[in-house]
Amino acid sequence: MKILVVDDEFQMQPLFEQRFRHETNRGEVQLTFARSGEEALALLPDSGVVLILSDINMLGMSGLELLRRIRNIHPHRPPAVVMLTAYGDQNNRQQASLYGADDFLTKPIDFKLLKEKLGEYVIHNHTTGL
Amino acid sequence: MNTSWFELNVSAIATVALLTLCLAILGYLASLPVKNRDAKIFVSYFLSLSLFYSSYALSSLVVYPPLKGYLLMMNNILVTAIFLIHMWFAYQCRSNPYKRELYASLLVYGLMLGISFYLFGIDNNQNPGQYLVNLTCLVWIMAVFGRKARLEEKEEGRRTLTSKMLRDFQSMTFFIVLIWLIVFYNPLAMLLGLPPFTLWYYVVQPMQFVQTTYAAIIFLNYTPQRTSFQAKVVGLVLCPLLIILALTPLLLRQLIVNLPNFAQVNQQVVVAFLFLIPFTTLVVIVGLPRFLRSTLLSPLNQILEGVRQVDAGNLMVQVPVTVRDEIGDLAQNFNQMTQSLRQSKEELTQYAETLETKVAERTQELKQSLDNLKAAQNQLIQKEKMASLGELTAGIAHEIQNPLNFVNNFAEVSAELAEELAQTVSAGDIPAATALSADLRENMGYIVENGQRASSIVRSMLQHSRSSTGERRPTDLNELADEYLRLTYHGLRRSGQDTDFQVQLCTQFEEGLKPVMVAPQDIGRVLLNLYNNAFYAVQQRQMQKTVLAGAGEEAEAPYQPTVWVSTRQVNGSVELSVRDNGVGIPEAIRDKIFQPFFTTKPTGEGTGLGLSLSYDIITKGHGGEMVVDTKPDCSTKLIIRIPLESYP
Repeated sequence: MKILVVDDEFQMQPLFEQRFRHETNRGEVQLTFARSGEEALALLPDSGVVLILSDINMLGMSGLELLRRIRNIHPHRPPAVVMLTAYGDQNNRQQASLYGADDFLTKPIDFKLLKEKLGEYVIHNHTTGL
Repeated sequence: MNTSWFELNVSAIATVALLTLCLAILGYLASLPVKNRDAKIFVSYFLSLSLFYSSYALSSLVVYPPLKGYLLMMNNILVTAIFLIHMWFAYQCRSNPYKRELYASLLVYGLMLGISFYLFGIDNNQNPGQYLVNLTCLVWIMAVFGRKARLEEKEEGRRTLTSKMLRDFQSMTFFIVLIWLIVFYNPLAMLLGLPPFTLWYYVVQPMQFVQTTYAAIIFLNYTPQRTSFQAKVVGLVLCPLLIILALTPLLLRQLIVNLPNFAQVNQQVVVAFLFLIPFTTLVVIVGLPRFLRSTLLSPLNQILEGVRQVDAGNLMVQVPVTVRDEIGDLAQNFNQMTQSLRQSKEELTQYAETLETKVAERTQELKQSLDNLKAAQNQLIQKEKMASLGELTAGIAHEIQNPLNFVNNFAEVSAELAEELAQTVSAGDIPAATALSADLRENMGYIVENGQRASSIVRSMLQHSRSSTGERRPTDLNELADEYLRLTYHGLRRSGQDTDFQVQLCTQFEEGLKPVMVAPQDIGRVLLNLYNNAFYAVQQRQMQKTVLAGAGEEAEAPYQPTVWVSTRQVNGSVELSVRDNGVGIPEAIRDKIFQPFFTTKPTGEGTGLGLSLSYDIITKGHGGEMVVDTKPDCSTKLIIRIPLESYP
């Protein structure tokens, strides 16, 4: 499965690469990275990405805006969109849900939980709700 | 005493009295220090008058015919001289507008008089021609005074001192005309067969006294020299005294004329008066001033000196009280006055001293309150700093949390890697082990890097709360602007209760920006303020929109709160601008935003010091400038410019 990680924090890339080292080695997961919403949107078409993990608070386009635009093009998954944020407040959560996010995870990322959920995002295709 | 060639008579006595008066006046006039042309002519007038009276007195005494004839001739010559001088004075007095006329008049008068002398004899004392010529001359002189006075008044447009003097001399001349008319009556009466005016002496003599004195008074009145008090008193006493002395023998003569020994008594009376007149005059002239000096003038002078000393500031002066009269009272009162002045001055001095202590006290109090104010101001500034720190705390927490997450994550991954490494080594897979160790090393780098990032954030937080040392060092403004933007933004996100708030941040940092010599801590505070204001402005605008939308307004284009931060280099300075599409600043308060304590935030939310301190930091602290460009309900842009050259 192809996963796109959108975060303006560049160390996210080595972190994800190492956390998913085994999965990548086994060929279960392919990681792609974008440093901004704009980059992500440019990268998305015909990429075969099935899961997008996006930070909300980024300079420039926010993660929520990115979500809104993706859902404008793809009202349903794929791709599944999971929001990652340090601010797990209710409002962001509601907003993300409203815009059609598939999940909402707070930072620091619990990779164990994330890995467990990966299957869900792909398997439960065309289902809505968090 | 009676001889064949002269006899004492009362007429001579009166003339002697007149002569005495004339001499006294002449002496006084000659003693005056002012010697201008007018004074000289006037003195010579009195000189000729005195000569005439001497000659007249002699001619009255002498009965010896040849001598008497010479004396009468002398009289006529001297009278002529008097008239000439009088006329000359009339023309020359102050200024002479009729120069040619003067000489013509003198000539005509001389000629006419010469003719009269030729016709009636120069030794004739009853010469009607001479009387007529002299009368005409006097009238002419009157006319001259009058014309000059009119001319003067016409030029000045008002009565002046000179015109007054000329008019006074005119009336004095008229007085002489009267005298001459009376004198002229007897020869005229003789010619026309009218009864003679036998008592003319009684009229003419006093008139001559008055005229002489009057002439002197007029002159002295208008001369720049002031007339002393002594001279006035002497004149005042002498003139009536001499009139009395001159007329008494005449009166006595009437009383004793029927006595059998009239000639003898008359003789004695006349001789007595002949001595009495100069004696009295001497007593008055010498004695009176002495008396005045000792009883009036010197005590007055002492008081005057005292007044001068008091005026000069010497209040210890005491005037001796030498006489017991009004002057003595004055001296006594003067002493009392200086004493009370002294007292008042002492009181004033005392008051001034207490005033000084009072002023000192007040100054101390003022200084105290100023110190208190300064302390309060420092506290306020500190409070502002802490408030902004509070605003930062959430941001800082997030900023620290972020690297810490990485530290944790990389540490966890590294632990896993280390385990794998151990397995690969025991399995003998060297290439895999090498790859793993490279990853481990890389992770250690990330851990260290993030740890350092967290420390640096803590350090800058501490720096922010500490008082600024104001120490400048080359600073990358882009980095600083970015760091504080993050801190502020995350702070806002974390602390904001209104979490419905999304703001788009746009940065446009010019690459290769030269480092600026600034105190980073201070500029950080400025940035923090500008960012906070920008976020506040967009938040406010969004709230307004929400309220409007809630009130059922037409839905507009969705509002996207945005904050732009950009830097660029312009002409030797670095420009940083913070723009927002918030509520903007109303025109009415635009010039107040940099004032201390001015805030639009609700009470208790803002100190009103943020922009004011920022403004000071940029302008006073860094020699830069800070300007605002705003459109209400549209946007606000704060621009700061800091010169690249290090500010002295």
